[in-house]
Amino acid sequence: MNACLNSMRLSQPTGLYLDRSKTISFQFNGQNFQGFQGDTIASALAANNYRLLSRSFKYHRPRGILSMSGQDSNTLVQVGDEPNVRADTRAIEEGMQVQAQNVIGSLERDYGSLIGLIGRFLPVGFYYKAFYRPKGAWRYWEKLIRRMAGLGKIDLNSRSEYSDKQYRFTELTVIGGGPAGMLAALEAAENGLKVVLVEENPVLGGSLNYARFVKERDQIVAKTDELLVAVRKQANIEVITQAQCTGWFEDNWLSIFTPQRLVKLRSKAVVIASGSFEQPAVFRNNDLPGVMLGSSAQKLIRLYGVKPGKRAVVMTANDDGYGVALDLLDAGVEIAVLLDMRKQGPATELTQAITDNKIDVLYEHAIYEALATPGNHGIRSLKLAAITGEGQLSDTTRTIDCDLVCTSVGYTPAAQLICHFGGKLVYDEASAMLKLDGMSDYGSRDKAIVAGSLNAIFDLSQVMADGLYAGWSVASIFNSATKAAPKQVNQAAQDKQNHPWPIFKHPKGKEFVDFDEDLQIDDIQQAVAEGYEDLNLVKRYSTVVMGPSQGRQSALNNLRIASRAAKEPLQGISVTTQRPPFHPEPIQLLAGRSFQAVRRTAIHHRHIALGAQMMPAGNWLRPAYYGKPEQSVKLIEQEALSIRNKVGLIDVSTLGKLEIRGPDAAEFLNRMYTFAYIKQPLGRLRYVLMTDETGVISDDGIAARFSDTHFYVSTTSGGSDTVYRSMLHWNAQWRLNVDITNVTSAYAGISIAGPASRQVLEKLKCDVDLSAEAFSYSEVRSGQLNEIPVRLLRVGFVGELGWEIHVPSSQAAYLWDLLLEAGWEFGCVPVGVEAQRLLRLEKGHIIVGQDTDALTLPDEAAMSWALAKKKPFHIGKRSIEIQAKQKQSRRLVGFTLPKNSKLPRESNLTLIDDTIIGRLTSVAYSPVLDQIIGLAYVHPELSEPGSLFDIKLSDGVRLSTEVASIPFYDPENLRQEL
Amino acid sequence: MTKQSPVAHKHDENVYEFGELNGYRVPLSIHDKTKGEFQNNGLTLCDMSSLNRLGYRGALIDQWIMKNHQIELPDINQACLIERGLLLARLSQTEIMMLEDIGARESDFAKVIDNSKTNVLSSEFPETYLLPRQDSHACFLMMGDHCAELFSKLCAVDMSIDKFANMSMLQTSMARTSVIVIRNDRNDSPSYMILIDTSLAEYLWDCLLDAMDEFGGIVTTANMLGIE
Repeated sequence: MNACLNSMRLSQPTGLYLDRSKTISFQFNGQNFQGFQGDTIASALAANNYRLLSRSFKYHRPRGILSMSGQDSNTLVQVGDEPNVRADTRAIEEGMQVQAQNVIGSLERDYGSLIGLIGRFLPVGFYYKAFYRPKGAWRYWEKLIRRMAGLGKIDLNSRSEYSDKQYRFTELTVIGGGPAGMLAALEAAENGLKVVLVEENPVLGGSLNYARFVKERDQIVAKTDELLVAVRKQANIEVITQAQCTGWFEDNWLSIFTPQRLVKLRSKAVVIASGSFEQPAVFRNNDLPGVMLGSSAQKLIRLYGVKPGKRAVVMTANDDGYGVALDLLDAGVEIAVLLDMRKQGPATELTQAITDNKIDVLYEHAIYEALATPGNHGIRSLKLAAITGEGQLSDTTRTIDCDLVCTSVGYTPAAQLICHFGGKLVYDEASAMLKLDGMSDYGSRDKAIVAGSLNAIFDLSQVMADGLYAGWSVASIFNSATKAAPKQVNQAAQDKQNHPWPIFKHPKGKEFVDFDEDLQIDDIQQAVAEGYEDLNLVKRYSTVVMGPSQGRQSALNNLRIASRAAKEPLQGISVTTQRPPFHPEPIQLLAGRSFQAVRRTAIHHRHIALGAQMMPAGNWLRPAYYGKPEQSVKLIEQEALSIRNKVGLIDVSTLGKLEIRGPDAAEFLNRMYTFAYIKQPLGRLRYVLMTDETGVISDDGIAARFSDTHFYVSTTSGGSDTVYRSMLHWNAQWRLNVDITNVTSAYAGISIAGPASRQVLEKLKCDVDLSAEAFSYSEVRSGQLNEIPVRLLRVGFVGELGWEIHVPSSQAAYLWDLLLEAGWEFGCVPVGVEAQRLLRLEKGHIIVGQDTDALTLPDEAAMSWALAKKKPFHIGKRSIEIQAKQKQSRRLVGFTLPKNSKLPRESNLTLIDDTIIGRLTSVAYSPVLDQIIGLAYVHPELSEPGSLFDIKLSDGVRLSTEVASIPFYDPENLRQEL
Repeated sequence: MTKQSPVAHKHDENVYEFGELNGYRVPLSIHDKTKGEFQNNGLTLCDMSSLNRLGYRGALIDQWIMKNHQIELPDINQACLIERGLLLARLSQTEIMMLEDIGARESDFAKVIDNSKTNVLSSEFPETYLLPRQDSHACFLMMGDHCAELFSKLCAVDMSIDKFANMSMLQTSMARTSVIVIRNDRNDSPSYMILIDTSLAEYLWDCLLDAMDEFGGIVTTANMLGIE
């Protein structure tokens, strides 16, 4: 054994989760502690006899271990940059830095606890009544309240750890790896089902690992080992430990959270065997460190090898408390007294063992109050008294010294997942327990079955039988049950576990019903007295069951107190709605490893090598310009001038490309686009403008005709998928004989433009005659460049002699290199998107989506030249004709400003006097024109060149300008037709 | 070598020896000095974009296949081996894809292409069209026992061994991109061809590498898979 000196550490065989060969050092509030590997923060501190873990939310009361299962807020701590970590389930790690949260001062001396002194002035709902008076006071209160609100600290600089998601599928998922869950999984697996068994703890076993059940526990250990071996050997069972199922959704979709992964599990059937939550008793100071659930003490002993205290009082309403007392005794804890709230306990081997060990048992007794040590950091003694009625104790009390109080007064089903699926928890007076309602039809409808203590079955042999039956039942639903039907457990014949009223009001209060929100008996009663009688109203007014534990320890007692206060019968009352998630879900896991697809052209890495600054264009990455960002303006101008004066290459691979083939190809284009294509000559290009059914411009591009039955159509970069889908959609209705193929990624595109572009191409081995006579503007050819198959399109988007070279994407990078090399002597440079946009602006060419919006009609964008008015139909034609008869409100025009003007920004407003008449869509300084040029919407009556209007800059300054003719550059289009 | 796979640059020249395959410059093998670092832990990824593939679409595609290969088309979303190293995958009623697989003879695919040129666009099979799958899609090969588990991190469809049978095909979304996955086992090892839009190939490659990491998967080469 490693030399880890923990004063409260027990020897083996206790400490199932521990690896005692490995000592872990960590810090809590700056103080060094040691534990063993497998210890949680809370168990390691408890092993060091350190009980104080946190401060409560409202009164800053000292809090320690309560459930030892991650189901309460008492153990919330900050670990590094992670707030609200449950210290009773988070394993310690070497060097871990743990801090208490919600303290003003230190954990030991928290000045926030002074609020408790004025607690009587802060009753339930006080914040609804207090802070709005006097008028204007709220702004001061708000700051204070905001400072006090919330738990833990977020480190905005922290880096999220790696996490991902996984989709899984199985025939049966069993939630809960306790005795019922294991038996259900085994039975289903043995009947041939594929089973995923989900367990939140590090090992399977559930209560088998910590509860006593019988006098001699050896037989439980043997049975547990036997089950674990059987599960391990069963090939049809996959076990996922340290996994929490946080939600159960339609069609058995289960969200399973593991430490680093969200598993989205789709299961044909589900067995929920998630067990029960032990419930606390309510008495004065029941929240002090040292008061814990009986099962928590057993977990400390058996799972973590920690002695929970030195002298204990056990208060119980069932036989489990007897097991707790015996376990404590075995662990070396002195039992001061065992308080049995019942009139008499049944004669069992456990009760006999208590007698044999001469433990003092007081029947019909309960705790009146716990008395705190100085500083309220623990308990020094408690007062007990005889029970005289429901919630009533005798005036005669007896004080007993102790440092540990364990309560075993009943259970509530851990039924949250079932409630996500429509189940309800309703109160059953006979058993004093919440029971599931409405589960009877689940088996056939959703293949969902509940097993174990969720069915209010607590006897171990019966729990296992119930699990077995659940497993067989699922198999029988699938018609795969090969084994004989096991005997069904009679749920009605179970022993009573819950005390009907473990709630004892004290004249001085501090009997906590809800530990999260520091709500006491008075608070619940007061909420009802103020008229909030319905449980849902009590919840919202008082915030009971709304804290981190979501009512796991408070819902049952709250229901009892509120219903009694409202004079409502308890029978049949249901708890408030349980919604997902069952456990807190780390945002990191919800967000982790999101997929955001990025498209890269075939020449992408050439751009990177050339120093390009990449920019997003839709889901593509395109080079904005080449060079350093601080020189961007100059670089963009240089690139533009290179094309005007020499030659440049632009990667236009992102343009959408579609093959339209078939006898009806021309008719199809004629319907899809506004221009006329029936008579488009072979080998020619024609502009395509697409409008939607409302006549709004939706896309544009070029159509190249290779044969009577074959068109090659380009779209905008962002429009390829939309246009392709639209074409498929319309052709499904028209049933024309065409084949539409999206070849956007199959072909890369390189635009070579500039006066020297023909010379560059002619340096390559080209089997196409590139002369102006043989290959004029707006024509297309197929051929080869250095034996690379290409489609050459003579287009003029940037207004210079040039070609778009469409090339199989696998050979695009090679061709790019060839062109750059061939163009070297002519000053050929790569040119980015920014310069390309400037060049097209000089030519007055619109960009759909930038110079148009979701309402722009062709007339408004000065594109009516692209409408073939004589053809009978194209998509949007009817709408365009109707709207042409209406008075229009805007028109796209060109404008210029002197070069020394302040450069407007796109979307700056256009005005006449103080009336807004439109906005700028494109604007830039043109180095070749040496002035600012732009496109803007104005009133249609202002569309004639020379009309005056104002531009309002972002800073409010107004510039006067006038409408200019477009194109701004080379208005006769001579340069592109060289 | 004028052709380039969209993920060729993902292979470190210090680790991989490059050579020529079907006109592509591809990583063929691993340098001797780094071989020791490559331990196959049951998951390998290989870029097979350089292998030939071609698509066909048309109403008479079944007749064309029967004439040229004397076989019936498999069901939609199923694949079959036509002959050694030649895979046929059926994407829809009227669309198929022919893929060169490991072990194909050099002449096999050339024959396919010749047949395409002579027959597909002939009057005998009107309105049957070639689809440029070589350049529209990159092709990866994922191989090993952990494949299904890896896919479960990227794809919402159940691709477990017993649910996604050999020679089955899936047209689905993987890491939020459209892919075609064909299961084509070899040497009793689960093996999947993944076809992905060329422009998204690098993105998906990175996603696959990331998902492989927990299984100790390695990027292998054509030669290591037996492609000469």
